[in-house]
Amino acid sequence: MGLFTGAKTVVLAMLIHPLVVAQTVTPAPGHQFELRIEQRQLAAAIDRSHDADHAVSTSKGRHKLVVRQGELVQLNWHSDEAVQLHLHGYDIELALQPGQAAVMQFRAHATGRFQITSHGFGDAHGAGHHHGLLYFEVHPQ
Amino acid sequence: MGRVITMGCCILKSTRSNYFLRQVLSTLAGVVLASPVAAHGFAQRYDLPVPLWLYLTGAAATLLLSFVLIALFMRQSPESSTADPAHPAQDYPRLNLLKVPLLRLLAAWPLQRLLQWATSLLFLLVLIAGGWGVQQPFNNLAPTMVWVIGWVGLAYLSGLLGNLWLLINPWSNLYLAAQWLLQRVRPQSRSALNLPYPQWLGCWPGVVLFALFGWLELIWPQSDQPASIASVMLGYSLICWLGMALFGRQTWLQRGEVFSLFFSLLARFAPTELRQNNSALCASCRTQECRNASEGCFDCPSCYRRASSDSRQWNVRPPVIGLLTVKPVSFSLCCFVLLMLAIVTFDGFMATPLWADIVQWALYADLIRPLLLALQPFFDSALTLISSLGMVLFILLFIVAYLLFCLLMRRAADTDTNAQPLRALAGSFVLTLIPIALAYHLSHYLSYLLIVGQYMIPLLSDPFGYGWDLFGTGHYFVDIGIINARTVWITSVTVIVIGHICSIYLAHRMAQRVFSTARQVLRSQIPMLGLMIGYTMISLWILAQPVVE
Repeated sequence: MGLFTGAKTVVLAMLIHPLVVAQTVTPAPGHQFELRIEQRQLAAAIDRSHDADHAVSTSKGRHKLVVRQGELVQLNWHSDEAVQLHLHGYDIELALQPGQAAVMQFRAHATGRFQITSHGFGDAHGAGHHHGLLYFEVHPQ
Repeated sequence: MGRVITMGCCILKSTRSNYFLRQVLSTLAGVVLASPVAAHGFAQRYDLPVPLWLYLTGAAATLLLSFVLIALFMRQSPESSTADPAHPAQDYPRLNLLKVPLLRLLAAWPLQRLLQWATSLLFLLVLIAGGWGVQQPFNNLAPTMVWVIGWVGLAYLSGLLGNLWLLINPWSNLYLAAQWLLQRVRPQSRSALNLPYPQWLGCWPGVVLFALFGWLELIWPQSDQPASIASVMLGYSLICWLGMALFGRQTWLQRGEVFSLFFSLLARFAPTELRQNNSALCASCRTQECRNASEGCFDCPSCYRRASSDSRQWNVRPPVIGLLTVKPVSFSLCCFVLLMLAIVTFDGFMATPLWADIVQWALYADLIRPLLLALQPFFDSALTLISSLGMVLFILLFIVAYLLFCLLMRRAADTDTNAQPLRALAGSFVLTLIPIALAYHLSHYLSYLLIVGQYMIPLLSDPFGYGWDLFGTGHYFVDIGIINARTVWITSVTVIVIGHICSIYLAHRMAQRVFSTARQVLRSQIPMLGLMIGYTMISLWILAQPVVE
């Protein structure tokens, strides 16, 4: 049974180690994205945080925003139609009006893969169906 | 989801117009993939996929450690490891916790009764909340209590600590309470028919109910609806109590009560056991799985309950060791174990992009359209139907694969077919898969348990969603950052690799029991190793896939 006790110590060590890392998170510089909704789809997603603008990577036609844990994140939204946005997990909601920019700003304190969905296109009361727009990923430091 | 369901129905109904069908199908495929697919009961998962480097490290560790273990086993002669050939499961160190005064107090009956009453009341509270509370998944006690605490959480406890369910099973406890009450009111009446349980039925009632439960958990669109959960609980309670009334409580608990079967299988891995050292009780034990030890038996609730207090032991034992069987388990229990593996793996698999592609393919494929059309009246959406078919296939795949590898094992060991019938071989080795099943369960649900489990804090203050604040925790806000993704990754991969090692170790110990020569033992383990490595790789692969909702 010596083998098993050895393996358990490894688990314990591995369990403790990342916790220590997580506590020493230093506030990282901000991360800005420009997001444009056209015809009920995400038409453009641009990463503004580097020297030059980057297009956000896509997988299977779905955009994916990737930030580091602890970063200050700013999502600048534009839409051609009224819509309700919802960032799951962080539970941030935003009502967009056509032609008006709106901003989600928050510290990405929790790691994970979160969906951003739209509700009720063209209907300011937020009725209607869930529609996945893109994924927002917060990677550990 | 609403749109998907209605569209799914109308699509499959329009059998004649193929053009129309394709038109709507193409729209549907987009909708299906864009809609949240509720995998596992309710609530979303926010897991980041395990990064490639860790996936590869885990895979490499799996392979490397497998061969290191085999090399270690090779130096061992088969006889040396089993000291007592008649009772080979007995030679491990044990510590009786009942000898510790404080723990004896903990195990004393007033505390047990208190726990039993508390959990029975909680069970009734969940039923009432589900039936009459506010019908919102996160504002009602029922969904969180059933899926997160009762199902996922108790599995953690059973596997890591011991068989707590034995004590707190509300169906058993409420039945006992009713029996006691009936004796009080009408002393002459019989409370159970105690019909002889048909041998051929084995654990099949449990297997069938477990498969249904798996479907409810993973596919049922209503699985997050409090009232639906309450009605299913009520239905299951009636089945349980009927089974107990017909065949006796203990018989039904070991044959048809899904959760007793499930948690007790996981608890065989756990580092605690209940043991009694009075052999006379075992001779009169009516349950088939009573595993006679040289003196008395262990992990047999029926004997333990009847044992006198001085012959009872509550032992700490090395983990894993309880999974070594003395005689092969029945084929029905075999299927139950494989179902455990299949259901939890299918839960993970349903969140992978590959599954999304399969669903899309199934919607378009001409090959299976006749089947979909034939089954369509029984399901409320095309998605539910395809998932159900997928689950059935997945389960069959697991059972067939396991039996195939058992055949290969017999081939490799080169034994006489009559000496080792497939049934016996499958029954001897199936429990060695439990550590792998437990490991996958632990890693798959880790962040789910920690994040969604927090809903219990506000729900305890406001179980019905009426806006109460009984304990001042009603406005607790769930912290999604409670566990870091890196912690989840490393823990998950480590746990899966450890589970894999435990399984290889167990399989080898079992082989030493089943086969007679050292050569047979080693050769038999080559196919088994293949199966286990294959399964562990699948688990790791699923963890490395982005969760698609």
